[in-house]
Amino acid sequence: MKLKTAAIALAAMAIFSTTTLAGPIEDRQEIMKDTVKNLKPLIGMVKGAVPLDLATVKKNAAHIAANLEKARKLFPDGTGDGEAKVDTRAKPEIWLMKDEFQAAFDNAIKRAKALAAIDGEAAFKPAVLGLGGKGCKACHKKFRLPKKKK
Amino acid sequence: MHRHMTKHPILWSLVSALLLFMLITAGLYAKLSEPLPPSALPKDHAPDIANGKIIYTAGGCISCHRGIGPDVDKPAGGRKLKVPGDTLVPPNITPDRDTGIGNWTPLRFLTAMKRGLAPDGAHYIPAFPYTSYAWMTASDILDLFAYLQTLPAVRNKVERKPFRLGRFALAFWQWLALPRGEFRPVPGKSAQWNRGAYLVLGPGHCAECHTPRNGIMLLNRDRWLAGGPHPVEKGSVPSLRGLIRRKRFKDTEDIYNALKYGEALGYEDISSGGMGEVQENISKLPDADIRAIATYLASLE
Repeated sequence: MKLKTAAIALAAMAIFSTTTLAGPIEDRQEIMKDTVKNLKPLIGMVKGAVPLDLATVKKNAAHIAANLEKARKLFPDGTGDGEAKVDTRAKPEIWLMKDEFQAAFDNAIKRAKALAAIDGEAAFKPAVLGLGGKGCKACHKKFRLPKKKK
Repeated sequence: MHRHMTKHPILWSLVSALLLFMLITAGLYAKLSEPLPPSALPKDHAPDIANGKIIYTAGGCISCHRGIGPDVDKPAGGRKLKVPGDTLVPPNITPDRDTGIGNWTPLRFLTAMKRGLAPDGAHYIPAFPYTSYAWMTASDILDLFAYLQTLPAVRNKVERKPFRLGRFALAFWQWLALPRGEFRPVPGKSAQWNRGAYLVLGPGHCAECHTPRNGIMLLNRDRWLAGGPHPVEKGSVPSLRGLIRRKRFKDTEDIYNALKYGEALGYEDISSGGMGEVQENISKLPDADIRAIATYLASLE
């Protein structure tokens, strides 16, 4: 009996430590880091530092689109800059203009999917610039604070 | 009368000191409100509208003077702009004769850009970055004026807000803040470097945010472009010194790519805090100018 309780407690702790302890802010930050990790090689290909490989492009772009789908749900009320204990650069505008914020996600996801669906090398560079510019940049410009001084 | 004066010598000296002070202040204020003389105009200047457009782009005029609704791409003014300690509405600089700058003379425009003075003699609040524009050559400013006159005129009246601490304080601040003289190329540096320095210092007005200010909002020239607190948002404006040494960028080419493509090529910190808008403006400059800016920035230690 005691063993069973201990096992349940352990299991509960395990669940807690993986899901609940890290709140939405940490979760979305991890997703953003992972997104950058997936985008980096594609940027290297645009610059010519890495040889172009369409299979990698499609795989990473699909991964980015899936990441963004997850991230868009991780901005609950009360998780903006100054509202939570965790450091975040999320501007209050996210919650003042919720529709616009979600539309920015729609746009970024659309562009990531377009990149995942390119049918040749000629379409590659404009699709990456479209994702990075109209997708990432346009949203960060409006909804992200400048870096904080360390 | 004479008996009075000998009776209250302290009072009388105070009164005369005060009068003298008022006289000097009034004289100084009048002096600080004088428009530029016609001799400030370059002789026989034929306006180069194409160059005016480059200056307009480098200055990012549209970013603050942007119009509302259908005039979003015209500098018709009317949008709120947060500045330290206040919220202002930048004016209409389209060539509308009644509400824009359509009836301005080149000399009025030059006076506004280099002295921070409105045609009616009022002192502009330094959210209009004339302390940087004063470094520009008169011919570039006149080219800009000529370019603005080619834009579609938009009727949009914007009221000017007075400075909170009073016009005397502002006039005196201008006297402290305005550079004496314009940009001179640094001998021994390449033409490209000097072009970059000029664009950063003058039209680009980068120092307005990237150089920290002291207690009375004067730029700390010892910490030129060394970054500081963001003027209106939380967070900070990064230093532009030692960009390569500090491994922020690999080389001059890397800085060029950041300015040209911004976050679209993964330079992810160049889109927050107003820099996204700035980078978009810079990206529209001729390639040679973007490279010049990168060359200058790469040299800052």
